[in-house]
Amino acid sequence: MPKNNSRTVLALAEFQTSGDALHAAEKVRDAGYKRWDVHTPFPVHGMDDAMGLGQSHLGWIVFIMAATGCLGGFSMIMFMNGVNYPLIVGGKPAGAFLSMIPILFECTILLAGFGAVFGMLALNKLPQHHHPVFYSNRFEKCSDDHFYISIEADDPMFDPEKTADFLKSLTPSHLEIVEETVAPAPADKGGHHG
Amino acid sequence: MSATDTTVHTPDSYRLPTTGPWANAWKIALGIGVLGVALAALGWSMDSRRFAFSWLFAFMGVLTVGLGGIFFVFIQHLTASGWSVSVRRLGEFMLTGLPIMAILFLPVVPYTAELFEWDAHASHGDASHGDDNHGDGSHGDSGHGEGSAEAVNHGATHAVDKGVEQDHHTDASAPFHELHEELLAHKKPYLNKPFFLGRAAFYFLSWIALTLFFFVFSTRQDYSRDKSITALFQKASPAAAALFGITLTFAAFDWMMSMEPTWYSTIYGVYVFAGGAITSHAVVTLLALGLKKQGALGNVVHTEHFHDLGKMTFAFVVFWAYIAFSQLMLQWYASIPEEVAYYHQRWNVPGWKHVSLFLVLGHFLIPFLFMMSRNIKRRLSLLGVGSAWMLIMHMVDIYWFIMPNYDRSRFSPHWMDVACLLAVGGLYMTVVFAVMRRHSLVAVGDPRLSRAIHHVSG
Repeated sequence: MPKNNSRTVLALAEFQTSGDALHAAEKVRDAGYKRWDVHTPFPVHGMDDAMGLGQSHLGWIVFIMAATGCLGGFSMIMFMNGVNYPLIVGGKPAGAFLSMIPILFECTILLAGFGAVFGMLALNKLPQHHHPVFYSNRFEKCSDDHFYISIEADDPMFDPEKTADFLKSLTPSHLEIVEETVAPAPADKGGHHG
Repeated sequence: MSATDTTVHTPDSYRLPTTGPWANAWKIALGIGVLGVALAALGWSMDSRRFAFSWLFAFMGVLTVGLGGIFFVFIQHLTASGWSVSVRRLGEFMLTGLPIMAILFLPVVPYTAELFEWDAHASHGDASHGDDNHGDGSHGDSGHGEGSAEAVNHGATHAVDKGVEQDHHTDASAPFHELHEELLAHKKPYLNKPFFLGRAAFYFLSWIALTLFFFVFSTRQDYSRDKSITALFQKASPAAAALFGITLTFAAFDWMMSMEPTWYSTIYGVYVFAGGAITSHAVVTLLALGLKKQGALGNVVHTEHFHDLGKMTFAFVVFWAYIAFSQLMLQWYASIPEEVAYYHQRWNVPGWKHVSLFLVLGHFLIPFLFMMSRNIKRRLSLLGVGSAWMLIMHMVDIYWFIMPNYDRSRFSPHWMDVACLLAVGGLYMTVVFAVMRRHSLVAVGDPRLSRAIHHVSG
């Protein structure tokens, strides 16, 4: 197609106070939307509940990584100093358990730390080079004094009119339907996103 | 939220229920205490040496819980904690039992020669002590072949104590014994009875002063709502922390570590403190659970506070393990005879090895895995189980400190251990529960109470 197309990617509602955003988030949660987010300049108490976020799975990732670090460290030391090249230090038997403990501790917290950092990034789908909210010029204020709720167009419940009406019913201070320009590439059919 | 902001918290809002189990809690505690004292007296008439050890165990077990209460209170002021205002009074109640501990220390005083090797050494001419073989005399003095009459006399308890081991290590034990004599002579300027009693008096005076300071001013604030009292607490807390740290450390040195005066560990006081810190959070949790169940705490204490108390208990479980391991690791690695003797006593003597393993599992590994989960800390019945478990394990820990010195050849539990624990614990709780009847269960005068009620733990 020769001419540029645009398609709706996001509905963005702006709120003036954290309380408004919190109560609006409760309603979005109750409406059953799945692919949506709240953007605030600072952490808002109670927002986890208002958004209906369950408990993070990060704890399990950290626990499994920590257990791996502990058992991996034990296997490593036991193999190196107890089996492959038995080493007697300070008159202690080769592969003495007590002298391993500081190293097991280090291995445990090292992998637990990796699990926590990289697990957090993965669960947040980071790094993410771009997000459609940045098409909105108003969104800059999110890092200052405004609060936003965005509902993405790939949410199964998303419907351009209905979702816009729904967000209006939450009495935002501003509502923006964010569109994305789809520029067809000269040769292939798929095209790149702007 | 705003609805609770307007709630007026008066000193009469949160009182011990006049009906139900709490109303007569002090009478029940007194009954337990009296029963314990009667049994302990019976035991004392049968075997006074065993009584002394059992009593010291019970005394230290309960004392460290009460001292943990001091820590719990001043650390809240030191950190200007808002969340803990809801439960701080429960920690302050734990202090009120400390003055009676000074009286409960008295049965220890006549038995220092039985309990502490340095005093046994000082009074080794005393025949009544030297003959005290407790039917285990078959090992006799075989380990001290070349000893003079004086050495044999002094060594009587040691020969019994080291018992089975000594038969196989006769050669090795002789130089130890000489070393033992000389070391004790060197330590005499510190380890002698008058100074020992003087220090004990200083510790008790310090703790009673801290109790009066934190309890009297805090309960006065219930009525006056004077914000300057909160400021005073914050200003005085660093000094209270220093006084607490010094007295607890030296009390631990004096009353437990000096039972084996040739052994030393500079981290010992911290180790004892770690146990007290766990139990103070566990006891506050249990008190709050019990009172909340009867509706005495209204909405002042809720899941968020229990979650935080659980986190603190969990953190100090890890801290305890860290300290316990630090001590073990260094002494095991260096393998200096007089240092490893302590662990030798608790690992290579039949029975004690199992107690040591039980501590590793029950005081660290199991509660560590159990209390790790957020869900368990927020499920109050499970949190209560964890807290009660830590309280029991603390007593095992104190038992492990003291009792290997009673009979160095074997693990020797005795019914008097339980009787003395009932006596000391019962009397301590009698005072605490009796004081609870007369005061608000919540520090209603603290300006941060509203913040504490709206606390979210996350």
